Amino acid sequence: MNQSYPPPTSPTIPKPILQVEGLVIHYETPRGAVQAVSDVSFSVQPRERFGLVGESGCGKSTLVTAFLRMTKPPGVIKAGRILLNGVDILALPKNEMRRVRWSQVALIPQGAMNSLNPVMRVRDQIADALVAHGVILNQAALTARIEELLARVELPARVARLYPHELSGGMKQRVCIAMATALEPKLIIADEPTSALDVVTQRAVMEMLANVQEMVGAALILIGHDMGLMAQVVDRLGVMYAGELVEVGDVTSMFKSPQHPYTRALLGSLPSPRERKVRRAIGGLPPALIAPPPGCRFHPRCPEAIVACREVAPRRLETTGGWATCHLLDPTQASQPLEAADAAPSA
Amino acid sequence: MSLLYLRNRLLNLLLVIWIAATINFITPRLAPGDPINAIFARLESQGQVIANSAQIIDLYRERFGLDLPLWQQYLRYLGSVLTLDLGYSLSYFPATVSELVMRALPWTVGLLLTTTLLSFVLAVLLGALFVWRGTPRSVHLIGWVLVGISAIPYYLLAIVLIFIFAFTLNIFPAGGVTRIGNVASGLSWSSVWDTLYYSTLPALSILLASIGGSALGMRGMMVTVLGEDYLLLAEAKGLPERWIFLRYAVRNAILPQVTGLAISLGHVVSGAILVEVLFSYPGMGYILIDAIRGADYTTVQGITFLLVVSVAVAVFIIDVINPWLDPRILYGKR
Ligand SMILES: Nc1ncnc2c1ncn2[C@@H]1O[C@H](COP(=O)(O)OP(=O)(O)OP(=O)(O)O)[C@@H](O)[C@H]1O
Ligand SMILES: [Mg+2]
Repeated sequence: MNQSYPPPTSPTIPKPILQVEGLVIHYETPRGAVQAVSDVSFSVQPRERFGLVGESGCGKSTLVTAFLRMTKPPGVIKAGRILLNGVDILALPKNEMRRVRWSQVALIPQGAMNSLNPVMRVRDQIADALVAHGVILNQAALTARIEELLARVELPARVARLYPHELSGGMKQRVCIAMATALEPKLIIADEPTSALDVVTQRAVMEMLANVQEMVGAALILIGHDMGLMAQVVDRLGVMYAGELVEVGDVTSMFKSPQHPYTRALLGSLPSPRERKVRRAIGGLPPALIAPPPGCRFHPRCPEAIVACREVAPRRLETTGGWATCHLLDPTQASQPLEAADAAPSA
Repeated sequence: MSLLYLRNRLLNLLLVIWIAATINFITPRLAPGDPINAIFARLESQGQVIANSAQIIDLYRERFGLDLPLWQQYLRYLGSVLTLDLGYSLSYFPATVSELVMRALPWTVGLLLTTTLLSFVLAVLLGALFVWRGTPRSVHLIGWVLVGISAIPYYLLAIVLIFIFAFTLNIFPAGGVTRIGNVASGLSWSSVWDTLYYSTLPALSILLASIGGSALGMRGMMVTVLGEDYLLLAEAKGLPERWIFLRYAVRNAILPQVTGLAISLGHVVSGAILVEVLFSYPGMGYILIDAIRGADYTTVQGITFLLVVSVAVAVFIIDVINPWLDPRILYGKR
């Protein structure tokens, strides 16, 4: 590949493998624009494991499919930049973008259960990526490589000859993982890789994913709902709410002291065996993304909301392990609680 | 495992043919009266005087085995069916049904086999292109015109075609192969030319009438398949668009279309009645409608039986190749 990479800026700070700046993605529907991703910025370092959590429909899948420039109509990338290994992929010609896919960034889509073509043998589905990118063209080498990839995820070589319907859910998932590493990409994105599996298989698949990612030296973006599983696997965590990234930080400090009320609520809805009562889910429903609430998007559901939350969108503020967008962390905001403001007679 | 599957399919095929043959045997015997009496009655009612008809009737009954017990008749019947002996035509008496069929079949098969296959290929391509991003505008335009045409009732379409091409432009004949001597016999350049000359208009009418509808069916399947996760993964893998289109999208969307194709191939032998009548085309449909009009029961039965057999054979063939097209089927249906 003959792309020009900008020279490293500083020897101490490693160049991020993925850098997202001010990304805005809308689904332009007849009823209005669904603001699925609103001004999202973050970066992922080489070999880092980055987790992405948030309620269903908050825009996680929309966000990560943009990293392969696979946003489908009516989805439109309205603004922002996505730098993959320093290259702005939104500016790449179509054919070069095709070559970046899988060789630089691999995606295991949500619903990996159905991600395999039902009428093709596993072997041919792994082989076509290798052939399409001109990596291997001779049959013997191809067979050897496929067996090696399957062995990585502890699948026997005979799996190559099977059709997807002859595999269990966990095996399919492992085939997808093997596939994702076929071209040794710099970044692997796994969108809820374990959501349809039982708990034991979930752990096994997650372990496999982590091992393989380490083996090929890729960074990993992991989307999931299971905070417990996340805590064990990822280094840093990003929390999304209603199309916005509201808190990013390293996993330990975020679990120890979550800064954003939404993060607290998410962690609070984790069940714990010591407290044998039904945990309180977050009250209310996430907002419709066609007309998100003004100010902080979480304020209608936030137990700690202050007056400012209704009017002003919060800034990004530094926390111990990262940052969060919440007025409560902002010393410049006068913190008058919402209830008090509502009770006060209006002038 | 796959041998067992093959055996089951084959048994299924034989069962269907046996049942069809049996129904074919029983149905006329449920009707009151006796076919030979009926023929004589008809001849006499037309004013022909037949001397010692009673003796002749007995003779014929013996000759056709109608004096035998029913079960013996049944066995004889099965035997003759196996040798494709479908008996005599009632209307063209000395001629057998097989002879009538053998004369008409080449015409029908020539016309319908070509158009069915061509229509399948074009409809699949068109339906797939309808939903593909890179499809040029002109293809969309042609496609929607074809869909529009397929909504026109067939007889109207055929009449319009005859009017335009036969009467106004005078390029093709308005039918008339049925007249003997219009087509050079034997395999020669001129016979091929003649056949094409007489078949083009009917073929065109069939294609125009059928492509639009099947293309819409294919389009529907393509839309479903394009929403599948495996298409997302194929794109993420950075495969060239053409691969994704052919090996992932079309390959999966085509499966129900192939089953439809097999069924229509089975129907080829029964001819296309409307087409053949409107274009006076000497195929199976033409003799079938002729037989129905002339109460030529043996011919109607013979053609119906052939139709059942050929549809059953087509279904058998599709059952055999389906597991190869869609690996899920063999294991699912065991
Ligand atoms: N094709 C589309 N047209 C219109 N709106 C869409 C479309 N696809 C997604 N959306 C909307 O965009 C928002 C984000 O969807 P997305 O699939 O990214 O959520 P998600 O966080 O991945 O959810 P989940 O956890 O359920 O997978 C949702 O509100 C959804 O309704
Ligand atoms: Mg999702």
